[in-house]
Amino acid sequence: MPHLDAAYNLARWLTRNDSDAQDVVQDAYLRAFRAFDGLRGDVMRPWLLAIVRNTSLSCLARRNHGGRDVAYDEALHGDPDADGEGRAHPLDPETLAMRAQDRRRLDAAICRLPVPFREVLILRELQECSYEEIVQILDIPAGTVMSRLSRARARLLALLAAE
Amino acid sequence: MKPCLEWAHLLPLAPEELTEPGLAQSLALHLGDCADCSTRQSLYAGVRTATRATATRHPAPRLLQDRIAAALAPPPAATAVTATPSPPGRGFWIGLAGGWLAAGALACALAVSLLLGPVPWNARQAPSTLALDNTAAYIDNHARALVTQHLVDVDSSSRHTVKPWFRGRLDYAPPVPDLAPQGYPLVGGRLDYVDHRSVAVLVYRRRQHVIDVYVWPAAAPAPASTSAAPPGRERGSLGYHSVAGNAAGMSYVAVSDLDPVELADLGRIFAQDLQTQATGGTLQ
Repeated sequence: MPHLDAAYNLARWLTRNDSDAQDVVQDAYLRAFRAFDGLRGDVMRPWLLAIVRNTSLSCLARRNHGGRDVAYDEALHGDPDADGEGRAHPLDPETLAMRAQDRRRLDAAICRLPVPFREVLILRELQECSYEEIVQILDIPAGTVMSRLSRARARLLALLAAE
Repeated sequence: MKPCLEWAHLLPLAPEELTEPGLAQSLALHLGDCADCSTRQSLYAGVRTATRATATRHPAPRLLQDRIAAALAPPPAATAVTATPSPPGRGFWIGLAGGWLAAGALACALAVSLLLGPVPWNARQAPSTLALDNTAAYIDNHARALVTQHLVDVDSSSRHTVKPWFRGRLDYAPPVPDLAPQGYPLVGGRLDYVDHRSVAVLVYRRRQHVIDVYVWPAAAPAPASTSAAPPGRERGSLGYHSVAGNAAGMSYVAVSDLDPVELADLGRIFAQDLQTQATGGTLQ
């Protein structure tokens, strides 16, 4: 099964639980296989991950009883100060670096990121997608990828610092 | 440490992530002048590196692949042996995968694994009988090739590429009929191992269905193998079907999740083509 680890990792991070992630990936693969003869090759990866991502969002929406769009938009357009850039962080770099290298702590901080930031961060840092791939997967312009990635990292830093 | 507002949004990004032309250069200039922004940027670089190195990459659970493969398998055919009970403890799994689809596939896997092994290669058997007796082995190989995505060793729709590829890899030269005109384009070929011998597998496609055709020399000279080749006997196993027969001194087994009627059709034209190749030799 091609790209299964990548697919599962994305779904797992977006849904934040194993059972939903497995359902999402299975659902996505069934769709993908129906839509296309095979999934081989690197060109298939963004396309497949886009299906996994959309299926994950649908799953979240079901779980939240249709609250997805509100939550999604709120995360993107809500309080800009939540990004953390408006505040100064009293934390010294060494402590912050230590926290970032603590897997449990880091995972928890990423999990707390709103979905629009979490997804771009996972794709970029863990799946090591190029901008072009992220553009395809999230269906947003490259400029938006850049600004969302920047805000995602700013929030992550703020979360790590705020502990 | 307070970054300058106009630069703050660029500090979390790696230089190669600054896509607008000139942006990386002007940021670098600013960082040379501004200690706060510079400190801040290195902080981000650290978090970026730590995220890549430290954050959990969740590997897919081992069973997920089986689960998807099971769900992808078509529903059990009417002829299928469905009596095999699911093992206890798998109930949750079946529920997740959507009931009978998974149950059927699981039963298929069980049936196949039970049938494997105890069926020895017996050269004295009539080839067609032999082929039919080993249906499970062929179906198992076919399913494994699909799941592992190792469908072809030689990836070509041209018989003139596929046929020579087998040369030196087998102790016989398998015929490679071109069935594209009849709606079965060639996908490629691979070597497979069935019953203690290497066998040529020709892979054809019909719409989204993959068809494996195993071909090997008939164990005994096929008697009266001229004229309409035996239509091939058809057998089904939980969504996969196989058609076996002899033609022009070769035995063949075709396996697919294709509609059994179409698969039988493929078997017929495959056998016809073998006959034509054998009798009208010069065509090749």
